[in-house]
Amino acid sequence: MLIALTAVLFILIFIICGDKGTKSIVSTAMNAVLLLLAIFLIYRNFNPILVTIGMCVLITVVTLFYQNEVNIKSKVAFFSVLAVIVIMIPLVYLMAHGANGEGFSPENYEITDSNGYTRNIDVSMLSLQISIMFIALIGTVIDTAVAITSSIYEIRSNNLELPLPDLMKSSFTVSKAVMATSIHTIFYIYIAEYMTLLIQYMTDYSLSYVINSQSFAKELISVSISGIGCCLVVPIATIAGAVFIKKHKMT
Amino acid sequence: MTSTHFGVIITTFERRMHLKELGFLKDKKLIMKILVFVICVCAIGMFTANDYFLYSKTIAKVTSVTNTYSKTRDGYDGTYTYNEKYYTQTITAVIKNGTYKGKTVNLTNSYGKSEVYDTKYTKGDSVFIEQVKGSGSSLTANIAGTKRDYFIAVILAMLFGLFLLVGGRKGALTILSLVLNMAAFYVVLRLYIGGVNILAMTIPMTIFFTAMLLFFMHGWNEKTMLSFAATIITVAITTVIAAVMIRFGSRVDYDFLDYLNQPYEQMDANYIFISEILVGCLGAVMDVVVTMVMTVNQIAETGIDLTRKDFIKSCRAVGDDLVGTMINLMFFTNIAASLPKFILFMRNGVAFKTILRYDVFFELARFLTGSIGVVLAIPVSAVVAIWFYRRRAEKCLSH
Repeated sequence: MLIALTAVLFILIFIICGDKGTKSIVSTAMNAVLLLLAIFLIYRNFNPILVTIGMCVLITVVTLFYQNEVNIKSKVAFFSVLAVIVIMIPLVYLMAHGANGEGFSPENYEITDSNGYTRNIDVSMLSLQISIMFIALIGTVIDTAVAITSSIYEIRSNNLELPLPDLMKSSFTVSKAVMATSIHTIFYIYIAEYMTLLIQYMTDYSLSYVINSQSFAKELISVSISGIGCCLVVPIATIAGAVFIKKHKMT
Repeated sequence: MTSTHFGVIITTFERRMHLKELGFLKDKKLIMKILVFVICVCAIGMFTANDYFLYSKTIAKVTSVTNTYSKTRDGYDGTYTYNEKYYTQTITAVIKNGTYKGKTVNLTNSYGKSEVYDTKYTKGDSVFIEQVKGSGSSLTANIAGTKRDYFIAVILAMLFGLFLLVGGRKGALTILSLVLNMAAFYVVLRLYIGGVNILAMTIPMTIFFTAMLLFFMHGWNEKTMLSFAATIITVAITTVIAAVMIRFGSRVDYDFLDYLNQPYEQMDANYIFISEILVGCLGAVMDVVVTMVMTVNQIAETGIDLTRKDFIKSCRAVGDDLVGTMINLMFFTNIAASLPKFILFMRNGVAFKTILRYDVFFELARFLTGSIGVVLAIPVSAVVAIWFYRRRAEKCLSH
């Protein structure tokens, strides 16, 4: 089924998209390879957090500069994404460390010692938890940043004489709309992902158990981190975008 | 990126700030808002961190921990051997509620360094305890999990606060819509547990929420109607593609669907899976559709008499811009959570191919169907919008 779905996706992209859309196959494949490489490096005992942050930067480079070409829009987006990653490091660490969310929860009862998945693996699950949050964050932050810088570019190219404060004002209007749609996009993805978990909560557990449970804390924090990253990239990309795109000479 | 590079950016930024072109950033109102935000988050955090009286279970706060090395176990994945160190923790904690309130209790815990199924407790953690025994200063008990509610509260407060801070009115609408969505979803799951077919409820819920969301975000106008129609059509096509594949493809093994209650019925699990696919692509499809409809609308508004070919060309250009980052978003958001599974299974000697085929099957399937939805949204919304605007143009001409 996976192969059939992949085939359908590829055929659709080839029919519907032009050159640039077709490039997205290549860049997604490259990102998948990068992620696999990260998994392999962690498997071979490299520090998960360092590997992940390195990979996040590479993934951003591929997505922005390969797919969208090197221009003022992708450069500003790149710096905004980096800034968000740096800002998020302490929050992610604090949340992951404090909430004891690492490892596999009892709700995930298929994965146990007795099912053959022994716990003697010598990889810190806490570090992996931090890695997950960054990987989940990166997709939405890139998407939001690109959407914002492109629309600022459009606003500017349609009105070259627009002074900076006005440019910023109209950019913020667009950015807020972008933020709202991005939040909904990830919200529905996560709802889909955790549908079975939610069913389990409702059939088996009380509310006080759920809000203190490991699985809930882990998933909710991960979701919220993506959302917070999405919120933070909005002012950063908008201000940086307006300033630099204003300075940029239009050709 | 070199540090000098970054330095240049910062100085240009500061120079701009001095020019007061960014004056509104120093706005007092903004500083006030940020202050209120910080105070609210802190207050909520402080309250929920100390809400012991709300619980009937006994809770203790860890005051000191000593870790002693106990043993090393070997793990083997067929190629490499791993040494897992185990530790025993001797924990002193103060009981925060119930009959033993204020008393000190001694707890023990053991963990493996990786913390795959167990937890390492540290000073400051609040833990639920059971079976409190002993008297006077020598109380002992068993740990029954960490109190995590204040992390949930703080992160949600930060998230919602940022929505309001950054998004203003739009942010408030986003919160409202998310809460309504969750509430409706809760009702759907309740009914499902009561025995109603989950897919039969997910479909009307999706239609209702698409309408509500588009109306909230973009107001009541023809663009919203067009977006609504295009979204529903795209999601329907995507779901049908997925359903056909589930029906006629090889049998899907739901033993690998995380968190699924067992025992399950194959048909019921199928419905859950299709519902997941349907909901999973909804947000992304809506995002693409709205942008496409806006574009077609703007081209139509300029009044330039475009032939159908030109329309399609512009639509394709806009669509191309969207597709790439959208598919990336789908990929990372869906795959991220399965990272620990990859590592755990690989270190247990499960072949990589097996992991891809069975263990992360559902994550990959959701990513692929979501991406199919995103790509399909481009022609569907273009066709719907073009059909509408051309018909309107013809009407105008005939009048």
